[in-house]
Amino acid sequence: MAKILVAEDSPTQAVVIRGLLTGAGFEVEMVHNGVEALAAIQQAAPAAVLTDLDMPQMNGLDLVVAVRQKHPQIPVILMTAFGSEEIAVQALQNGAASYVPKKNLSQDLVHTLEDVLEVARAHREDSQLADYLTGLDYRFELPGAAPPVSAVVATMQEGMGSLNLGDDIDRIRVGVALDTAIHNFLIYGNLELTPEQLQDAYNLSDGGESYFRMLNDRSRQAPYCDRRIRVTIHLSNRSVECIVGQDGPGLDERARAQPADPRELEGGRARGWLLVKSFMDEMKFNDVGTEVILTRRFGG
Amino acid sequence: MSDGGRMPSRLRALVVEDSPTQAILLRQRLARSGFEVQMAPNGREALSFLEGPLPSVVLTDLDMPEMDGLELVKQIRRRGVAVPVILMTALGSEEIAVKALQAGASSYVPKRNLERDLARTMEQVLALSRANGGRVTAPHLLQESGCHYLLPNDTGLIPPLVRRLQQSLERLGVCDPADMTRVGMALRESLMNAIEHGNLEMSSTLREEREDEYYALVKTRRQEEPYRNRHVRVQVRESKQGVTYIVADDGPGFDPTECGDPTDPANLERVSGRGLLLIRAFMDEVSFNSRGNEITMVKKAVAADQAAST
Repeated sequence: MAKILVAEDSPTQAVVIRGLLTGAGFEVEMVHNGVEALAAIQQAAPAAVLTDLDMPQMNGLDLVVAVRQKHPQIPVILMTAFGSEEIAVQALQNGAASYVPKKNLSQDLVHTLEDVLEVARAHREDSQLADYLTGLDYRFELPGAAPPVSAVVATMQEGMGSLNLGDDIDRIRVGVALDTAIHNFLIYGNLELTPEQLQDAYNLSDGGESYFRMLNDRSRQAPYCDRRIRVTIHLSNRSVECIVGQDGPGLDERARAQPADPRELEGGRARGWLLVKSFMDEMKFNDVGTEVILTRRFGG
Repeated sequence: MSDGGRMPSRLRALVVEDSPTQAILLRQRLARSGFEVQMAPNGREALSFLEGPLPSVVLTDLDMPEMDGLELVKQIRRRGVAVPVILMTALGSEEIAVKALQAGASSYVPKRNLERDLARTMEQVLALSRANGGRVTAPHLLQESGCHYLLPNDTGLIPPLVRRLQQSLERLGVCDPADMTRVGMALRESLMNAIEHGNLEMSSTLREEREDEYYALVKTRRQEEPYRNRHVRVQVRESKQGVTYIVADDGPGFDPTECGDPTDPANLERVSGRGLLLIRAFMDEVSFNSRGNEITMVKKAVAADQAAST
């Protein structure tokens, strides 16, 4: 049966609590304060900690904070009394899992403990399962006007996190690559704008106003507004593959030109593909330019 | 056009720039956009700042004394500092900028376009980094999703996996609560079958006759060759139209017809084939590969079902 560590300074209360818990089949270890509780946890981790709030040598609130820091997987349950409401609220905000009023111990203690242990067990199982995840797939269809591109990218980044693919910066970079590829397909593909049109609008010194107006206007006109962007993402333990495709006539040679010359950095044109290419291991368009496949590999 | 515009007020930017005039301009520009700004005149000082609380983003010049932008990017990567770096590029610095992008920078802005492009680029990078906190999600745009698991022969992993798959069903609205339980049962049975009968080659007759012996043998075989190296592969495809589950084991396979007719009430009482009976009752389509070590189960959405029958 699960072991419960009980921190309680009053000997009479301690007897009552021990009786309730052993009666319900729990294994019980008793200590007198927070300092002793921490030492006991070091020795052998209990399934849960049940603590009084008002104790000498580290009270319940400090114990909650310390357990959360050092043993975040162990739930702490408070025993509250009249007069300790404020500190109880603080302890709940600081990481306690639940509480039982002392006057209701005989009625509520056991089932409160069981509820908390059940949730903790489910959580532990979930994180064990996460170790055996080997792949995630997503297929999105985005509207041509005001597509929530960052939500798509965030979904991919969360997936990379679940699979432990790369670190935070890798996730940002792959995110920037996907974000940029989607926007390039929207602009050059769905909206059929040419790099020259973009460059002209871009070069007007109006802080980008006419540039964005041009994009906005187009994305509301037929046939552009009916076109969609499709994004398919395959994640495994070793790689990210993103396929971005669209309904328009496809990106022509110039719109998908890979800037071979680093001087492209200074121009607005095809800015995106340089970033995409720098951040991914592979970037491959299909023949008609309606689709690009981006691949990034990690580890071995 | 895009949705990336929301910027929380207290983001901090570390600007690495050796020219004092440029530095002042950048500070003003970023402060206007709501950033708290920290300045460093070269890469070395920037690195020492990065030993304290991390900024949301680093904006760096490339050509600097002491430590240039490329070296700064490399050092940040080498030390595993989790902060995105944006380069400010100038004519003549293209080669080094490309190297820095490959070495770990997250984006770049040409210096002469700072006014027009800086805010937009910072927004993009921050929207894609954790510093931005809460994000929008797009479940309604998700047409299809899937997941793959490679499981050891540990039946303790079945409850969390079933829970996770049930959560997806709930999110997609594929079935009502009663059906969710039934699908969960079918999944559980298929996973138990794959582990105990598939990989560990346990016989249900033994379980029917001597249950204790059965579980003792399960425990032994989990540690023994050839059983211990066998896995269960789970593939899931989920969409609003329905869900497909494929569960495959590494065992020799079995003949599903041997389990008897699942519609025959007499078979309800037998332990063997009980799992398959439940699976056939709870899923809309069930099929096996020819070797009999892989089961494919389909649950169609209620709405999709009705649409198909009319």
